Amino acid sequence: MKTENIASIYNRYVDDLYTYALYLGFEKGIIMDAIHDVFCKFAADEKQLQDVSNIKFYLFKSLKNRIYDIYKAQKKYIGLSTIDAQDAPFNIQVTIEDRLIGQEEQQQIKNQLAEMLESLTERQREIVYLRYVQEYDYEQISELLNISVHGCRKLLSKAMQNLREKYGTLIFLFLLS
Amino acid sequence: MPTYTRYTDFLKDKQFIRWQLVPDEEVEAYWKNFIEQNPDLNPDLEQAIDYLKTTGLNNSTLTDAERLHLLNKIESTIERSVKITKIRRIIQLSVASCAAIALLIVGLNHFVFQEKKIHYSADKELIVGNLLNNKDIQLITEEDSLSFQNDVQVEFDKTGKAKIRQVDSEEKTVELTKSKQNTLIVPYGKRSTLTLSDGSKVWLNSGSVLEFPAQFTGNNREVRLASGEMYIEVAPDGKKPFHVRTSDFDVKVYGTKFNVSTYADSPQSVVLVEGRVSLQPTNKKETFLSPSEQATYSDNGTFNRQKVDVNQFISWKNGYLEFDKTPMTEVLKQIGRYYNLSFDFDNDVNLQRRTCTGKIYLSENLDNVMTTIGLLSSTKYIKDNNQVFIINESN
Repeated sequence: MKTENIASIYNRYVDDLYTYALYLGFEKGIIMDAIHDVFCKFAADEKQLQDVSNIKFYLFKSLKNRIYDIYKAQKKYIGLSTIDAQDAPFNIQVTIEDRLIGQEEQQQIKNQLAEMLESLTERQREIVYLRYVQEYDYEQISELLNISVHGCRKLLSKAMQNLREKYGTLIFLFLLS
Repeated sequence: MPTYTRYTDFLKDKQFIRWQLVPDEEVEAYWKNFIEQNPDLNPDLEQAIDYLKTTGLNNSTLTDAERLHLLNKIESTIERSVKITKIRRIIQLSVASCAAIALLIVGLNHFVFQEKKIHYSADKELIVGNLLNNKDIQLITEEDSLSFQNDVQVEFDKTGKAKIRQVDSEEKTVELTKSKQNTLIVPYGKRSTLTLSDGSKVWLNSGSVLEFPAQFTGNNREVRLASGEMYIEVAPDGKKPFHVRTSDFDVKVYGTKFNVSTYADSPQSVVLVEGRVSLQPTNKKETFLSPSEQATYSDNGTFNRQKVDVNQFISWKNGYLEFDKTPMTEVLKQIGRYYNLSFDFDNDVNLQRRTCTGKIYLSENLDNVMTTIGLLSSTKYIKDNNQVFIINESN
């Protein structure tokens, strides 16, 4: 039987799900519809519920599938070509809000963080987000991104290299001084 | 090397960001070394990491209203689909043979008959509440001990003088300047508000004991919630951090509004409404909390965090309780504290597994409250002298 009700699972994960889909470049309306469908399917399928050891991962994966399905169906209807998930954007919205520091300082932190994220490619940003913010392991990421585990490692090490090339030299200055 | 005085200083540091985005061996080694060399900066560093990962890079722009609206939509779709499945089953059954239907009727009868048997064993389907004797609110200072029969509002000014206002009674001013440690005891069935000398405002729920100084003289502002529940709006003061201590953990405040609940018969928790707090169990690592999050303390000394609808946790200070599929036992615990009623949950009856959804206004009159509970949970109540009996609606 269900150990938790849908409402508490929803409350725990809806923000993460919404934010992830938003970063993938989808509109609010589509995201809300997709989240709705994902939770309804999740509730209907009790057998599946028992088997899912990691509910959050299950929801992320279902959301990604569902949202691309909705998107593709809409585009087909409009008559435009469908987009490839590999080319999809991934834009992390940076938020710095702290009433104890000034507006200018907040903006400065925000800009620098955005600039550093900008030095990564879309897929690199996505893998960094999945690995270090959502803390998924390589197996889970490979399923979400639809690439091999080896491909995941390569993508992440490329991201590491990009950041090191652009921002890494400073560290020696620190160590020397 | 950059100087770090606040967690935001780390967020300005490119090497810190690099370490958090994709660490390579070099940055990893650098920060490991940094932590060893600067153990005192560790809390700020932890806060920076936590802020970056929960808010900085992962801030949800959903509003509470949107979140709630979507949940309602999901729940009604689920409910509808459950009904459709039921109807489908009925149709399938109706095309089955007469014999099968006859068998079904026999089966149903049997089922109903069994149900009835359980319903009529009166001593099982009953929750009993006993009205207890009312105690006075007490304010104990180093010099004096004051008692109040009704709910009080205590207000300290900057000099440590206290104004005490009792409902339906005259205002009283007490000089408590020299009193370092005061204790406000609010028994079950009573409530109080307290304005501290720095302007911070505290709401104390029934069954609470708060220790606090008349004036905050040191570098810290510190109060101790010995038991019960409080909601506090802390007056901002960058120079004097505010701490709420409980027997098991310490809440460090960064200018904010939050609720702390430490009743012995319910899980202890902290719900943050606005701002930022960190929680530190005795001798353990501190955890940071973001607005609209609840941290529930478990006995092994750790906190579990989850997003919640904050209103459910702080509505008591505004004179009503809000429930969303809350178990009957929890609802009655809260009502019991408010009206000084002791409900008996020793017999495990089905009624306890009912849930309650909706708002209950905490009126002076217990009858109004019990009637509302009845509506929200499909129960009936009977009051007899000092006892309240809750029974099934259909009985």
